[in-house]
Formats: sequence, structure tokens, C-alpha cells
Amino acid sequence: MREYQDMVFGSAVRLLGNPAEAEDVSQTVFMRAFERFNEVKSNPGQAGWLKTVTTNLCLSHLTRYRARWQFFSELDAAAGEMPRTFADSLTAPEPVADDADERTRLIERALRRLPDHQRVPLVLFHFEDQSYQDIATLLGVSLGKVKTDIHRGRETLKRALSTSIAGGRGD
Amino acid sequence: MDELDLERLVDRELKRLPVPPAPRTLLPRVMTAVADARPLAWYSRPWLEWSWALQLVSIVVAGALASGGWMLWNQAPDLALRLNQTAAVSRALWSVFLGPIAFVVLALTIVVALAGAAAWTAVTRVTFGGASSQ
Repeated sequence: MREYQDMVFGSAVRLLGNPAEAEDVSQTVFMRAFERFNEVKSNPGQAGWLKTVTTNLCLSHLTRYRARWQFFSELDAAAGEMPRTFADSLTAPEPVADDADERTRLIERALRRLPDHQRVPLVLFHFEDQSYQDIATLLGVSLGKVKTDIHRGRETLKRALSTSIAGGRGD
Repeated sequence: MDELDLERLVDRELKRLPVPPAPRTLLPRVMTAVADARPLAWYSRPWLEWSWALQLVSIVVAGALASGGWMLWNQAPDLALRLNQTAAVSRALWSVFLGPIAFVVLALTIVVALAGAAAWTAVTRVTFGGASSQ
């Protein structure tokens, strides 16, 4: 478990954007592995199995506990890139990054702040190396929607990066 | 910047990110949950995971059941013959003794049951004052 805990938690926290929920999901993943210990321990693809279970549990968590994220994603798509809550609209501008660590933190924060319907396909594409079609199938949405959401997520991250680079030059 | 450049830029930046370390509380949480998890009952586990004694007993029981089934199968013709004989005797007894008096017995049973019910109702009303209160 020590070997895979960072991998499982890392996948979960990037998909969910919330460390506390990611820890809960990680615990469930390892409990599943424990239930199928004999099957999993002799399986050479343990890491892949754990990643698949993590992804499925995170998607299930988002669907079940985040008030039908697909429904909200459709609303967001219809309303453009409006902030999801009033509190979101009051967040301060991104702080200027002054070193590599700060830049990393800034990108991580930008990634976590993305709405679920942008962050999830983006993470599946860039971290889990899944194709657009696979993501569309997994999420049960159209291919066009996946591409649009990923594009919008990338644009947001690019803006965060620009802030970081501008801040670095400013020093 | 076109879409492909944007994809490459974001991919490069995201791949550079270190894997977020799991919190220190995760391992103890999982260990506690594993310790608290109730193990499956022996009959819910695969047969190969049963104790040797249970495996032995299950083999003996399965063997006994198989032997019993085999013996029953071999004796099936005798069994059918005996059943036929029993049925024939029962039919003869019915037609000779029980058939002619069946209607009388049924009628008597109904009359006795009704009489008993009426008597019980009367006794109840007299005893508990149901009749005097009206």
C-alpha cells in the first residue's frame, strides 16, 4: 500500500479537486484491494487495476455526491464561463509566482479550481492518457462536449501560466 | 496559439507537476478500516480457503449425497412398484369401507361443528353477561 498510496491519492485529488474527498476515495480503493487481496497481489497489473478503480470511484463520487455534475456542466455550458458560485466570483486574483514551487502551486490551484466538467476530462486526457473518445464514453457525454470542455480547461490553465510567467519576469 | 500548441504546452506543464503526496493519515485510516472489517463467513469464501476439517466434512457429505442418489436411482423400479401397490390397496379400502359412508361422515362433522359453535357462543354470553346487558 505504501508503494501505491501516492499514486492513488494523486489520481483522486486531481480528479476530485478536493484532498478530503480524495482521501475518502483512496481509503475505499484500498479497502476494495483488501477485499480482493488474493486476486490483486498476484496480478502484475496491480497499478493499472488500482488506477482504474480510483477513476471509477471518483467518477461515481462526483456523480453521486456532487449533485449531478453533468447537469450542472450543461448549465455552465449554456451560461458560458460564469463562476459557479458567488463565492467563486469574489476570489482574489492569482498571486504572482516567484519560483518553481510557487509556479507548481499556482498550476495545481488553477487545476483544482476548474469546474468538475472541465477538470475531469482534462485530467483523464493529460494524466491518465485516455483518448477523447474513451473519455466521452466513460463520462457518457458527446465527443464534441469533451473537446470543448478540455479546450476551456486548457485556456484557463494557460491564463494561470501566463500570470506565473509574467510574475517571474516581473521579479 | 493553435489547439495543438496549447495541448502540448498544457501537457508539458501538467506532466511536470509532482504527484501530490498522500496525507499521513491515509495509511492509519486504511489499517483501522481493514482491522474493523468483518471477515467473510466460511461458507461465503471460496472452497479452497476453507479449513482442512471443513473441506474433509464437505467431501464426506458430498460423497454420502452422491451415494444416496445413486442407490435411489438403482432402486427406482422397485420403488415405483411399491408405490403402485400402496395406491391399489388405498383405492380398494376407499371403495369398500370409506366411500359409502364418506357423505354421512362429512355431514355429521359439519353438524357437530355447528352445534359446538352455537353451544360455545351461548355459554360465553351467559357466563360473561352478554345476554343480560342487552
